Amino acid sequence: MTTAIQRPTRPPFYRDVTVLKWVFQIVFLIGIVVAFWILGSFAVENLAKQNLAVSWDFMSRPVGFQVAEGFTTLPESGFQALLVGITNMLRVTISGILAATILGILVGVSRLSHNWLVNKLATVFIETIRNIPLLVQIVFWGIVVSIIPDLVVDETSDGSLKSLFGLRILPEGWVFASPKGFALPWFVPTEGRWQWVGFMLIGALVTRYVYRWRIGLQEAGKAEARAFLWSGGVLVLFAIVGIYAHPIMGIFGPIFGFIAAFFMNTPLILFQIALALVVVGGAYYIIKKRLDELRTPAGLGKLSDDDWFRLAMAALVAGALALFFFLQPGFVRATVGQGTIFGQDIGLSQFFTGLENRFSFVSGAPFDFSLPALDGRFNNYSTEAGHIITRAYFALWVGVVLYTAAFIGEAVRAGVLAVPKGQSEAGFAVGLKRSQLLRMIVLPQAFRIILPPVGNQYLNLAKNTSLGIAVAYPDIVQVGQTIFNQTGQTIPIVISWMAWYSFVSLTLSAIVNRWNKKLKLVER
Amino acid sequence: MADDGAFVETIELAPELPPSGPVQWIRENLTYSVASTIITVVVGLVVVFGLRGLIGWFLDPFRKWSSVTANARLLMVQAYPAEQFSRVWISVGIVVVLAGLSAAAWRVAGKVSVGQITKAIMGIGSALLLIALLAPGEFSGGRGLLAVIGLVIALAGYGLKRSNRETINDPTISTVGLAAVILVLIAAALWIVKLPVQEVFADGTKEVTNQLLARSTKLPWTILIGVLALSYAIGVAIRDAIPSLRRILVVLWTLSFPVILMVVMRAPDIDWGTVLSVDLPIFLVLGALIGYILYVIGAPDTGEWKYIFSALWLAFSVAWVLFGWYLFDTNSSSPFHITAPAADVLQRLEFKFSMILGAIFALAAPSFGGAKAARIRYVGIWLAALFALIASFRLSAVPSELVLGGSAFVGGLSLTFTLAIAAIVLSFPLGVLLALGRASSMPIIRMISTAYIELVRSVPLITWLYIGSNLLNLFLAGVVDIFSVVRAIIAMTLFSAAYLAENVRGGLQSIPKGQYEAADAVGMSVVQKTVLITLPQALKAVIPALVGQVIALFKDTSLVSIIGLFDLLYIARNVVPGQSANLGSIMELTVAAAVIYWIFTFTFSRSSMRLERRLGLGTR
Amino acid sequence: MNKMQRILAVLVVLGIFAAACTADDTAPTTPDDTTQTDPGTTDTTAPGSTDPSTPVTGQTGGATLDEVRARGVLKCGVSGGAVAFSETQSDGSMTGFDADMCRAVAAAVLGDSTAVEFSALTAAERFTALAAGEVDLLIRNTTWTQSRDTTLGLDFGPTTYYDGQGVMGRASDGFTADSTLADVDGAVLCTNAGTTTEKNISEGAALAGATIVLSTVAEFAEAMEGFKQGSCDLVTTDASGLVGNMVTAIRDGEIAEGDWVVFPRAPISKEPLGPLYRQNDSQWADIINWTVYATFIADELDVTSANVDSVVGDADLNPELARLLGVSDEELQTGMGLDAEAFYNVISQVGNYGEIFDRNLNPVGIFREGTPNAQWNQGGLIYAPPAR
Repeated sequence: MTTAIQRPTRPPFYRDVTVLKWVFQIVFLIGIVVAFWILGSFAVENLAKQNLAVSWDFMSRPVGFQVAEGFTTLPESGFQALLVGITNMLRVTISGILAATILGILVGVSRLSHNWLVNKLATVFIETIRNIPLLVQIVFWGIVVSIIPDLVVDETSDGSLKSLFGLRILPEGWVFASPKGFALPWFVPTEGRWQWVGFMLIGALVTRYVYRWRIGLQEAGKAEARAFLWSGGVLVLFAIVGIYAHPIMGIFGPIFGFIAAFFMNTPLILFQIALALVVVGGAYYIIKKRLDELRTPAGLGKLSDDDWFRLAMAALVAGALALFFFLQPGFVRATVGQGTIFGQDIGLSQFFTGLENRFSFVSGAPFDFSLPALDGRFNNYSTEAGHIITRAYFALWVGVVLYTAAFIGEAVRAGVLAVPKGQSEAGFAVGLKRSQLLRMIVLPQAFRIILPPVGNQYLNLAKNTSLGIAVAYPDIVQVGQTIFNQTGQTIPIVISWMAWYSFVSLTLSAIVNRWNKKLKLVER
Repeated sequence: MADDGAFVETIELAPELPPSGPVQWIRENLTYSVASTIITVVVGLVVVFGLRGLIGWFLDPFRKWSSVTANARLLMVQAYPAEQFSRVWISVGIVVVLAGLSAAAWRVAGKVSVGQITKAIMGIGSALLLIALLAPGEFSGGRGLLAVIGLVIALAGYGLKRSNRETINDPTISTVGLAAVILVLIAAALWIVKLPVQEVFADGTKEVTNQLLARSTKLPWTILIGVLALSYAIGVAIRDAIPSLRRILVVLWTLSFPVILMVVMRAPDIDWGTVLSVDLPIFLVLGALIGYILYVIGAPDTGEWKYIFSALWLAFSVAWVLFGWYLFDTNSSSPFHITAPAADVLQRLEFKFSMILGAIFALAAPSFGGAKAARIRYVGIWLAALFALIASFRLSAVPSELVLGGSAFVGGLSLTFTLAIAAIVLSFPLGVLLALGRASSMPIIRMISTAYIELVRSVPLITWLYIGSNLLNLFLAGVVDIFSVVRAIIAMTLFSAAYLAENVRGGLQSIPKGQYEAADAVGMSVVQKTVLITLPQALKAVIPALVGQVIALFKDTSLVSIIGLFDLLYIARNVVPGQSANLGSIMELTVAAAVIYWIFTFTFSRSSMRLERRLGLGTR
Repeated sequence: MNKMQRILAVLVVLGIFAAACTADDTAPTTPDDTTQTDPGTTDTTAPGSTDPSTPVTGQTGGATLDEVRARGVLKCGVSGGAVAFSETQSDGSMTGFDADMCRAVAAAVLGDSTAVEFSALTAAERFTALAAGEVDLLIRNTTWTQSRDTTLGLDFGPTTYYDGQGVMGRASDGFTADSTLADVDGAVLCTNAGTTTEKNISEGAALAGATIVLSTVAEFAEAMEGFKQGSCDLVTTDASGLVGNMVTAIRDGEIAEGDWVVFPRAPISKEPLGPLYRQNDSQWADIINWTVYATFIADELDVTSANVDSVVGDADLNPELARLLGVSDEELQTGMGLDAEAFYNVISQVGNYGEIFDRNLNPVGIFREGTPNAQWNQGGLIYAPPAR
C-alpha cells in the first residue's frame, strides 16, 4: 500500500462512492425534514379549523383545576401545574427505586435460598408479578387499597394501627390505616431545613474523604478497615451535630445574595458573550481532542467521512448556539433571571435569591417530629400532622415497586449464580467465614453483573410511573392530559413530556453508566 | 432469610439426594438450621394468613363473580355479532391446526418423568386440601368434601411416588400422552363443571343459576381440541414425507394473521367486478412487464445502466406518489377536500405503490439474480409480493359486511392479540432497518437512527399512545382518516421498533469480524452480506430477547385502555361495570383480566424458556 | 461495482422509508398552498373566526346526510359505559337513553332504527372523533357549555336530558336530602379526574365556605367503589349517575333504602345533555334537531309507538301531527332532505321522548315528574317549537 506511487484517478462524480453517499444522506435528511414540515403545516391547518393555534400561553395563565396532591394543590399557572406533576413523578421514582432495590435483593436472595418455603414463595411472587401487565396491577391496587386494612389489620376504634395478627407492634396513634389510606409519623421540615441540608452536603464531602482514607488503609494491608462503619458514623455524627449547629450555614446567605445581585445587575451582553465563548471554547476543545486522537507520529492521518462529519457538526452546533444567544437575548435574559420564561421568574438570580432567604441563621430543629392525627367529623387524616399516603400514590407506588422488584430479583439471582463456583470454594479454602465470603467475594463480583440490568429497571420504573394516570395520580402525564383537555394545546404538552422524560432517562443512564465504568475499572 | 441465600448455588447444583420420607424432607428443606426454622415458621404464618385472607376475599358473598361469567363473550370479542361467531371459530381453528402441525414438525414432544408427574399430582392435591382447610368461616360439608378429595389426590400422588421409588430408574412417559390426558380432562370439564351465571331480565331483576362452564361454546371447544389432536397426528404422519414442512409452516403462520384479520374476522364486502376490472389487469400487466424486466436485469454482467434505470424508476415512482396529485390529477383544486380515498384515487395509489415495489425489486435484482433458476425464482417472489400488495390494498379498502357494535371490529382479548401481533410483525422490519441504520457507516443515517431509537426509548409508551391518538389525527385529518385502532398500532409499532432495533444491534455486535471478512472474500455485495450472513446470525442470537419483547408488548397492549380502545382491560374496567346489572363489579373484573393476562404471558414465557434451552442459548 | 451496489442497497432503504412516509398522494407542495398553511399568515387566534376561503372537511352543506345515505348506516358516538344512558350489554348490543336517541336519528334518516353503528368513545376522544368524521353524531352525555359550543367547531342540538351535579353521602354521617354544600366541610370527596364535575365541586365548596379533601380516581366506577368501602365520605357526579348507582345498590341488597342520600336539592351545576354535530352543516343540524323535537311533540300529543299507526289512520288528525308524521301534503320533511314519513318511522320504531325516557331511566330510579325533564306544560323544560 505504502509503495503505491500511481495516483488513483478519481472516478466521475456520479460513480464516486463518497459523493453518492453524501448525496443520498442529504436527500434522505431533506426528505425527512420535508415530511415533518408537511405534517406540521397540516397540523397548523387542522388546528386553525378548531380555532386553535399552537401556543405556550397556558404555561403562564391560571389553570382552572385542582391537583389532587403535590407541593401545591392549587397551581397558579400551567407551568406550576406541570411542575407539581414533575415533583410528584420524582417522589414516586426516587422512593420507588429505593424500595424496589431492597425488595428486589430480598426476593433474589430468597430465590436462591435453600429453605423450600422461602424459595417457593419468592418464585410464586416473581411468576405472578412479572406475568401480569403493570397497568392491571396498578388498577388492582387502586381498588383494593381500601380493603387492605380489613384483611391484615386489627383496627382500633380511631383507625390507628395497633396490632398486626394480634401482635402489638406499635404504640397507639403512630400508624393509621383505614379505607381512606395510610398516615405515618413524619419529620415535618421547618424553616431551618435548608441550612441543615447545606451542612449535610459538607458532611457528605467529609464522609467521602473518610471512606477513601479507610479504603486506603485496607489496601495497604492494615487489617480490616471497616470503611462503611467509619463513613456511616461520620455521616450520622454530622446529622446530629447539624441539628444544633446548622445556623452556622447562615454565613452562606450573604454570599448567595451577592451572586443573585451579580446575575441581576450585570449587563446582559456580558452573559451573552460569556455563554458564546463557553460554547465555542467547548467545541474547540472537542475538535482539538478528536484531532489529537487521530494524530499519529507520522502526522495527521486521513480523516474519514465520519470524522469530517463529527468535526463539522461540532463546529456547526457551537456556531448555531452562539448565534442563538445573540439573536434571542430573551433566552439568556430569562436564564440569568433578568426576564421571565413562560411568565415565570425562574432564572439563576431568583434561584440564588431563594437560597439567600433560606440561609439566614434560623435556629431550632430542622425537622419537627409529628404524629398523624384525625381531623373533623369524618375522621379524616389531618393534613398538618404526620404524612398521608393517598390511595393513588399507594397504588402506583406499590405497583411499580413490586413489578420492578420482581425483575430486580431475577437479575440478582442471575448475577449471583454467574459468579464462578470456584470463587466461593477458594474463599472457604482460605478460611473466610460465610458472611465474609458473601461480603468480600460473592457480592462484589455479582454486583458488577447485576448493575446493568438493574440500571435498566430503574429507567423502566421512572417511565412506568406514567401509568399513574390509571389511578389519577397527578404526575406530569396526568396533569398534562388535564391541561390539553382544557386548552386543546396537545403539541406543547407532548413536547414538555418528551423533554422531561428524555431528561430523566439521560440523567439516570448517565448515573448508571458512571457506576458501571467505575466497577469495570476495578475489574481490569 | 438473607444470610443463607448466596451460598446455595453450591448446593443447588449438586445432584438431588433421593428423598426418604416426609420427615427427612422437612428436615432437609425447612428446618436445617435454627435460623431456617425461625424463618420457616414466620414465613409459614404469613403465608397461612395471607392465603386465608385471599380465599376469604374470593368466597365473600358480596363478590359479584357472576358478572365475569356473564360477560365472558364481551371480554373475548366485545360486540362481535353472535350469528357470525363461526368466523371466530374458524380463526381459532386455523391457529389450532397450525399449532398442531407445528408441534409435530418441530418435534416438541419429549419425555416427562413419572417423578415429576407424581410431584404435580401431590401439589394439586395439597393445594385443594390447603384451600379447604384455610378458608375462613364455617366449616361446611362442601369444604369437607374438597378437603377429602384433596387429601386423596395428594395421598395417591405420594403412593405413586413411593411405588415409583422402588424402581431404580425414574421411568418416563411421553408428553404427548400426558397432553392427551389433560386435553381429555379439559374437554370433559367443559361438559361437567358448573359455575354460577346471572341472568338479567328486562325489568332489571337478576337470577343467578349454576350453569356449565362454557354454555354456548362447549361444542366448538371440544371440536377444536379434537382438531388439535388430529392435526398433530397428521403432522406426525407427514413430517418425514415433506422435508420442507417447517418452512411451509412458517409461511402459513405469517399468512394466517392477515388472512384471519382481513378476511375471516372482517368479512370484506368484495366487489368482484372491481377486482376483475382493476386489480386483475394491474396484476397481470405489471406482473408480466416488471417480471420480464427483473428477469433481464437480474442477469449477470449487463452493465451499470440497470442501476441508473432502477434508481430513476424508483425516484419517478416515489415522486409520482408524493406529487402525482398535482402532476397528473386535475379534477380538484385543493388537497384538503378529500376526506377518504375515493375509489379511483385508491386504484391509482394501488398502481403507484406497485410501481415502487417493482423499483425496489429492480434495485435488488442484481444481488439476488444470477443463474437462470435464481432469476426465475426471483420473478416468482416478485409476483407473490405484488399479489400480497394488491390484495392488502383491496381488502383494507372495502367495507366490512358485518355491522358491529363497537368502535372496532374486534374488541376485548381479540383486540389485545390483534394489537400485539400487528405491532410486533410491523415493527420487525422497521426495527431491523433502524438497527442497520445505527450500525451504518453513514453519519447522517446513523445520527437519525440513533436519535430516533434513543428518543423513543426514553419516553414512556403512554406518551406515544397519546401522540398516536391525538396528534396523528391532527397531522393527517383531512388527508386520510386513520382509524383509532390503526393509530394505536402505528404508535406501538414505532415504539416497539426502537426496542427491537436495540436488541438486533446486540445481535449485530455479537457477530465475529471473520464472518464479514469471509463474506467480502467471496465477493458478496452489501445486500447479500446483510441478508445472507449478518441478519440470520444476528437474529438467531437475539431470539430470546425478541421473545421477551413479544411478551412485553403483549402486556403493554393494556395501555391502550387509557386512550379508550376497547381492549380486555377497558372492557373489564369501564364497559361491564357500566351495565346497570353489574354496577360495582370493577374489582372482580380487574382480577379476571389479570388472570387472563397471566395465563397467556406465563405460557409464553415458559415456552420461550423451552425455546431457549432448545436453541442452546443462554447457557454460556 | 461493489460500492455502487452498496449505495443502491441504501436507496432501497430510502424507498421503503419514502413509501412508509407517504400516507396518500395528496401532499401539498405548491407555493399557493404553503402560504395558506403557514402559521404566520393565517389568523388562527381569533375565536369564532372561520375563514370562508378555507374549505373545511365535511363542513359543506349536506355532506353528512349524503355520506350517511351512501353508507346506509349512521355512525353514532356514545359512551358505552354510562349507566342507563349507553350500556354495552353482555351480548354486545348497545342500550340506553343516548343509544335510543341515535336509533331515532337512524330511523329518521335511513328509515331503519337498527342501521346504527355505535362507536363507544372516551370523554377525551369524543370531540376529536366527531370533528374528524369518525362519527356523524355524538350523543355521549355531553354538557352544553359556551366554550365547547364556540371553540370546538361543533354545535349542540336541543337538550334531551337536563341533568345537574349532585353529591351523595351517607345518612349515617348526618346527611339528608336538605343538606347543603356547607355541610361537607372536612369530608373526603371522590370524583373522576379532569372533568367539569371536579371543577364545579371545588368552586362550589369554596363558595359555601367548606374545605374538602378532593380525591380523584380515573373512572367514576372506582369512585363509587371507594364510597362503598368507606374511603370516600362523599361522591359527586351528575345526579342521574348517583341515583342510578344508589338504586342498583339497593336492588342488589348492598344497602337499605335511605342509607345513602343525594343532595343538595338545587343541583350544584346545570348540566344540559344533548346531541352534538359538526358545525356549518345546517341541513344535518336541522335533521338532528327536528328528530329530537319530533319525539318531544309526539310526547306532548300522546303519540306513542303503540298508537302511532291508529293515529295516522285517524281522519281528523291534528294538522301539526299530520305534517310531522308525513300524512299531510304540507309535510316539511322532504324539504329537509328526509322522507315524508321520517318522523313516523322514529315514533313507530323507537317511540316518543317519554317512552325513551321511561324505558331506559325508570329502571334505575329516575323519573320525569317534578324535574326539568317533564313536559313544559307540566312544569318541565321539554319544549319543542311548533311543527309548521
